[in-house]
Amino acid sequence: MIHFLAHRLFRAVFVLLGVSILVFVLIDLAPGQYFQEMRLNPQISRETVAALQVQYCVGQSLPVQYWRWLKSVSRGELGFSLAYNSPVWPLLRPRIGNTLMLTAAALVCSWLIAIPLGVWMASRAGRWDARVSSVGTTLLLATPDVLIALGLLALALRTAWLPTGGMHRPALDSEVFGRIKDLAIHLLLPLCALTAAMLPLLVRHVRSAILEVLHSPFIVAARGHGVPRSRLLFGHALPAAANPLISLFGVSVGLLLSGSLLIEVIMSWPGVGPMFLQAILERDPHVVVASVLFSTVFLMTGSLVADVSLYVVDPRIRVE
Amino acid sequence: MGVDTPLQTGSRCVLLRAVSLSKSYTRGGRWSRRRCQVEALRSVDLEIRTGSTMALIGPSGSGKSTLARCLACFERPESGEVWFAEENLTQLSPRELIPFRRQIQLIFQEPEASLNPRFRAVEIVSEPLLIARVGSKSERRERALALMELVGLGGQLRSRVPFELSGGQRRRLAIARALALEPRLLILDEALTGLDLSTRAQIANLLLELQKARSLTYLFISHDLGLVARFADDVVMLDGGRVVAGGAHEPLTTCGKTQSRNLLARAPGSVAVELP
Repeated sequence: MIHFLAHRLFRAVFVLLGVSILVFVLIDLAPGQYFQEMRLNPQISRETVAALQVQYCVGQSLPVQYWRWLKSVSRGELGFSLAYNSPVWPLLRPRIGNTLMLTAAALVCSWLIAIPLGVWMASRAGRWDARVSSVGTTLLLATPDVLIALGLLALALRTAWLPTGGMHRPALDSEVFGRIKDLAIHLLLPLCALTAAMLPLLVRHVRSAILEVLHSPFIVAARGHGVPRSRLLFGHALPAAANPLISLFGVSVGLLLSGSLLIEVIMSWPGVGPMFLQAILERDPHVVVASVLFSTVFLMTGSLVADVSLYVVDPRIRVE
Repeated sequence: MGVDTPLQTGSRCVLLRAVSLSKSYTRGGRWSRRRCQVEALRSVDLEIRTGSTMALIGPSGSGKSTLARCLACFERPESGEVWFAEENLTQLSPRELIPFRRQIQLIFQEPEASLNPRFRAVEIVSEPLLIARVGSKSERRERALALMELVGLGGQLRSRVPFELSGGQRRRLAIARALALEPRLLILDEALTGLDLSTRAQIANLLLELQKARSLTYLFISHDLGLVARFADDVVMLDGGRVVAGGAHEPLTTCGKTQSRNLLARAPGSVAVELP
């Protein structure tokens, strides 16, 4: 197990290096620069812009830029933001926490709903109630995430049941419980949007995985031995269908993260998403690279958790 | 056709009797052009005597496995009756069937596939006991280990999952599970198919020893006529869902072996079969 983890960590370093090089190249190929807009401003002289470019090492060759960025990473700064005039890591750190909070909550919620719902739909396959649920999940799957988020936002605006943006009220409670409650209320709307966007995909996968296992001879045998329905579904079928679902868990981490970046922008959640979007628009290269690397680390962690879970759950994989 | 008489016919004690069993399946999807009804069983009559071994032979698709599943109450026949120990099983509710499920156990075609791949050997054997609420957890475990010993699986295999066992060991495990609830009738649906000769002989001997020791009744479904000849007291041949030879239509006699010999001689490819 330790060998397996060490191997994965060793590989992860190369993946991160590869991703960072790729992002650097793509940013370099993309048209426009951070200082380009300054050139259009008649109040800023060309000499000033040129001096700033030299100061911030913009316009140097790509290997030199990358080498300087690597040195900055070794100092724990993750580069320098031109827009904020600050190292990237102190800017990104609180936002990563916020994004992780939203994504982790959505991950837990969507799986907690998807597993019983998918198992129930598989056990009722062919019946009218399962068909109605299936149509519902298909409609939800076909609805773009933006539309779901905007719909929920409109609902919150009309009813005023939930706050429509941010993480806290301006006048914050001093009590810990009050702060947590306030945070939970602000989290609810983006959480619902993210869960609703992810849920149909998970439900359909859980349903099909369980449905496939329900036709297995060992399930027929267990049913014949009089195993009660709930034990049959959750004690026999679900563990047997776990492998594809665990793999899907790893994928869902990445999908949720990419979904959360969009929903954070729409719902003004102060996570990585809005900062990432702003950095792309302003051509702030190191913030873009750091945001992409954060996504990569998150995705790789999800994949690692899935692989370790498979290793623990399935004895066949342990032996192989 | 109703059966009012107890399952005692003259001097012969009948453990299980099937009367006019019929079962059909729908092939093809709801909107498929090829959707049709397939009659898997057509008015099958059968009697299995207590302590005997009845062999069920017939070509592939003749309805042998369907008959096995109907007799083991895994499936409900469309018409007909299954009498077991003076009880018409086809009229019982799922709850009322539970005590009879204990007494009729089915060992499936490819028994390996009928073992949950995630369960350990001892859990597989003790699960029927858990469902039947027999004893405490430690008692169930002890009993499962004893059954594993009985079928020749050492205690060191208790923590293995099915894929860590050999083909023969998995068959033994399936037999141990079937024996857990001390059944009276064991239906072996091609349970020895696909094994090498040595393992097959070992398991066949095990089954014969268990039959002697526990007065078990077997319904033995097989394509292996040599094995049928060795095992069977009575032979029934199915074709196209009908009993074409043997069964309740041809009255069972005390010299079942002779009848079996005649049936086997009529079966295709059975020229070389020698009865013991």
